Amino acid sequence: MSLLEARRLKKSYGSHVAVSDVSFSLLAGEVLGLLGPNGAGKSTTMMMLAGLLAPDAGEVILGGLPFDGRNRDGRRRLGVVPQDFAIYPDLNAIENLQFFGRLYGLHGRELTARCDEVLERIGLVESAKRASGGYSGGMKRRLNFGVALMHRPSVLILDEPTVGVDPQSRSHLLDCVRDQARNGVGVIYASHYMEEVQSICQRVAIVDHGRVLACDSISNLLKGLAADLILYVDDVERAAAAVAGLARVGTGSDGLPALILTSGDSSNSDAANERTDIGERLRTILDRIHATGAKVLRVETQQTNLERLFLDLTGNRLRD
Amino acid sequence: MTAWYIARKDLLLLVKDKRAVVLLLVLPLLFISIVGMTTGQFLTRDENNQRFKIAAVDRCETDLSRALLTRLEQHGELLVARMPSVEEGRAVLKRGEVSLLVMIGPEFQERADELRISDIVNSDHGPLAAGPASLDVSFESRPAALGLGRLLEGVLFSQVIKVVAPVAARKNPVTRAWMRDRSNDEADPDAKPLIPSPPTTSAKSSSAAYLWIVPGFTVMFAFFLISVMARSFISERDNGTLKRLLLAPIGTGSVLIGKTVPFFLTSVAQCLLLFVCGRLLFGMSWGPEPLYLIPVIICTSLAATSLGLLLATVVQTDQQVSSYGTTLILVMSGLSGCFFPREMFPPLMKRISLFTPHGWALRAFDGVLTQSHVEGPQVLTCCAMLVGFAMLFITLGWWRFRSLS
Repeated sequence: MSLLEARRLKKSYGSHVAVSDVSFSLLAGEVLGLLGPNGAGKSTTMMMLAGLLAPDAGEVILGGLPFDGRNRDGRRRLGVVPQDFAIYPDLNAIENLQFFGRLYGLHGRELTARCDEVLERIGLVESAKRASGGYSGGMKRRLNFGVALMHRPSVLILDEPTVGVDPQSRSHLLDCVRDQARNGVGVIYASHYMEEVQSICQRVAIVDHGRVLACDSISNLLKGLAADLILYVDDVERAAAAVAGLARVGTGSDGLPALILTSGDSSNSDAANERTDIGERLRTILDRIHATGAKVLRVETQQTNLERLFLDLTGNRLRD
Repeated sequence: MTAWYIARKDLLLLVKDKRAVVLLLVLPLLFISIVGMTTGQFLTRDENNQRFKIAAVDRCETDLSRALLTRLEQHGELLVARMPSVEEGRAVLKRGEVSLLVMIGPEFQERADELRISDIVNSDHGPLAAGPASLDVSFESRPAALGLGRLLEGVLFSQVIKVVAPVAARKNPVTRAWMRDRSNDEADPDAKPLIPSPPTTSAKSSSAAYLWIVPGFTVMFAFFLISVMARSFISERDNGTLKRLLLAPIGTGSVLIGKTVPFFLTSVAQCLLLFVCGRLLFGMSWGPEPLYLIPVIICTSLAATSLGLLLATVVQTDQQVSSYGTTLILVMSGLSGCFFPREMFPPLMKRISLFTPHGWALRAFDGVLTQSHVEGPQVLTCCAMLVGFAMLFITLGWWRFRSLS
């Protein structure tokens, strides 16, 4: 059974539709990446999941029961790490952790023990008695994260928890997230850092224009991603005219014009046939370029990764 | 219980916020001290600071004119400076060292001698109809103190009449006989004197100015707290911690109570501090029944903190707190009489002042501090009105907070 489920969530602000149809589920011990360009509807989705915003339609199922934010038992199961720091800068780490721990029902020795445990985990033991306003960005991020761990939530919702931190703090935070997942906590992890998502998430949901464009394991998503062959030619225009329909003119990794041959351009859906198909197309292309007298300077393959998948699905258009 | 955790956290933040401590505790004391200094009553019980200062020039220099000056000097509310000439008298008046100049002209004795007892009884007609000038007594006051000058002139003219009345009475056989009988009675210690002695200043009145300064500033600063409170909500929002509070398994009511209680406690502490300092530093009276101050302080603080709650849910930025909050505080304080004694308000302003919680708070403090007997029901009515204001503000604030969150 899934820990958390978004079922056909919809939310509009006036005439602007922020989320039009978002559905996914989160299993125990799973880290689900939530990716989307700015304004895609990620934050609205996360606010609905956390119970801070009521959806116009659809529902959130938490622990098998509908959750609308008014349910205090449901709120106890959730740990939310907002993108902006949500700590009291005039209080030290212990005061911050204990205050939020108390709000979730921790008291006495249990509170003290849990506070010590979290401080240890987020690496703030030595700075625990300093006002958190004087912390570095990385320390604040770790404390921001630690506050959400205090009450041992079964679901963690993390909104870009590593923005603006140094590699050490980032690595520490990612380890913390992995730890939580190992302990059976389900994690929703929103980020713009693709390499982070690729390294810690088992599944990824890519959201744009308020819809889930893809939601699957990373390996499955990348499997379907078209691989590109990039051919650098000394006379691109002449070569392009000769290979029209087989390759397109594009830009190579070094910014120079090149011919791009995409495996996904093939009409073959079968993987073996596609490989044969691209091989034949490459041979034909090379023959035709040779016939024009142009010279192939270099051939590159473009690596398939999450970022490419993300751009393929959401496009290159600026959103801000 | 969760409300108390929030309250405790906010108290801790308040203690750590030096600006708030200065604004809520140090500034009111500083203001009261400054006003005390300007009225000459800070750390001093000098009665002269409270008396009206007048200068007097005696150009008649007879026993009667000297008797008049002596009588004025014995008046408890007056401090008389005898001046050798009119020019010097005018000079001290011009410098603002006195509020009024009394000039006893050379014909004072002569005109007093011409008076008959019927002229005094019927003073609106006859020789005295022209007022002090008919006895060759004249007054000059500073243009800025016209109202006060006229008031003083009236008081002084009555003293002149009291001095010349026995002179006129001696000419009438009936009053002369009556005066002789009174003289015989002088041996009787219970007999009342023919001319009562002028009133003298009581020891208690040395702190009279503080009876409106301290409540006025207490009420104003109690409501000054609304801007600190609104800032606390804004910083909660800006820090992102309000979101965390709303995510926690606690109700909206707990958040609002937890955010309000520390400021209520601070307000009560602030009021108590001001009254204790008023007593210790300025010798201010707490009235005949000081226990009544407790409900008044509690209700005033309740109204102030609930208004703070409402403001906190209306404003969005620090700049809005500065503009809306400060305007609200100053306008309400001005309308209600925090800066100026309410007794001197015209009737319309008195009625308008009761549309503010400040007005009811000041009325309640006035009922407790300045009356010889505390009218319990009247004070409790004021408290009930303050609680009514508090309920209204809390309801609106709660509704705003829910719709915002």
